[in-house]
Amino acid sequence: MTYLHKLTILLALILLSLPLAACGERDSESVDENHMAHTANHNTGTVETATEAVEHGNLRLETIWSRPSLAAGNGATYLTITNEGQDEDRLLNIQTSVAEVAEIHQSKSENNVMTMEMLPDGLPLPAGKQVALEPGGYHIMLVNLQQDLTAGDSYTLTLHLESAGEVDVQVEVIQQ
Amino acid sequence: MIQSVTRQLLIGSVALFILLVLSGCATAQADPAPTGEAYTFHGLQYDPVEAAPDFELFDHHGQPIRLSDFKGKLVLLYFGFLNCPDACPLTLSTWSVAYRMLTEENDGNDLNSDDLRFVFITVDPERDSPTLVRKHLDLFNTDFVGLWGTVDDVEDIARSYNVFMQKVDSESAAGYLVNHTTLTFVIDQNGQLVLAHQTDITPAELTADIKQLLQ
Repeated sequence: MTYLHKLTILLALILLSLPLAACGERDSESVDENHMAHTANHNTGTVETATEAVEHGNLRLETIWSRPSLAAGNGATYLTITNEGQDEDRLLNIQTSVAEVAEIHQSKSENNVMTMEMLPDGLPLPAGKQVALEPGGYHIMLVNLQQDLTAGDSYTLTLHLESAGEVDVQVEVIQQ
Repeated sequence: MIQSVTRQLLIGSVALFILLVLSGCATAQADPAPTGEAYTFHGLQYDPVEAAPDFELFDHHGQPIRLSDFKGKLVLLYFGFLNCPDACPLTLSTWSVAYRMLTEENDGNDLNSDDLRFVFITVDPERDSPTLVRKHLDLFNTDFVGLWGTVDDVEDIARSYNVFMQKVDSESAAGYLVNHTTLTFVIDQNGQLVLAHQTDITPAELTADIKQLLQ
């Protein structure tokens, strides 16, 4: 590519990403504005889970799903957490029997280069806000899966929250 | 060079961004082209198009596969790795849904044999064996092509496509991660690079672009 082509493509990249960042509130939306939380995925269409939202203290947990994944490999869990309370909470860590370890990660894309970071201090859940763990953003990374995750199956995840304590949720394995 | 270019572009982009915001966010959102008007492709367009760099890698049978073997077909090319449980499956999933949509529109007939190849190259050949790549792709579509090569070969190919890849240490129990470019390169039937799709393309948008290019 010539210098000029690179310039054109880079400029297009930046221009495309900026309006998205400005117009779409991906990571947290106010509870008042968004009570219809059954679209977990802005990128690949809608994910609909069969299970109903789990209410735990001031938290509502919903749209909890994984893609099919292979034993001995890694996987990811997605969900939407709404903090309906007056105080911030925090997702501290996660346990599940289907993986050796479950970690909280964040994917970030800059100039179309994807990087992934672990959040060792957990994920803040601001009061009155909805935090979506969804493809291309926050997710729970399942390291060294102990079994295949097959479409149609479900498994249990135990979430440990700073204020709300411990809660078990069922994760649906969904083939998109 | 890229860094200095980026810096200059950032300044220009900020000015343009302000203009975009002032003109209203709605105008910056991509809308499907209304019928009767010229088709607008999604993602980034190569203008002019340029020859896609050829390469030779291996499939899970150890068979050498060259990009030029696919001449006459539309090729979608992505560089990813298996220990990437979030971003890489996002693209594979979009491909999978688009492929299903195209097959359904084609009265259930497979498009892959004649017209289309979805190709995944692992940027982590040390951990991703050719067999593992195959198994992983089978989760999405058994027709997707998985390719493997030595670290040196894959790095050379990535460089020829301006794909950035870098192993980075992480605190994760999963070990190192590979930061990498997540564009999908669209190569037409004549072996020309025509588009680069970003990860946020929807299956419907991808399907529309493919149909347009296959016309």
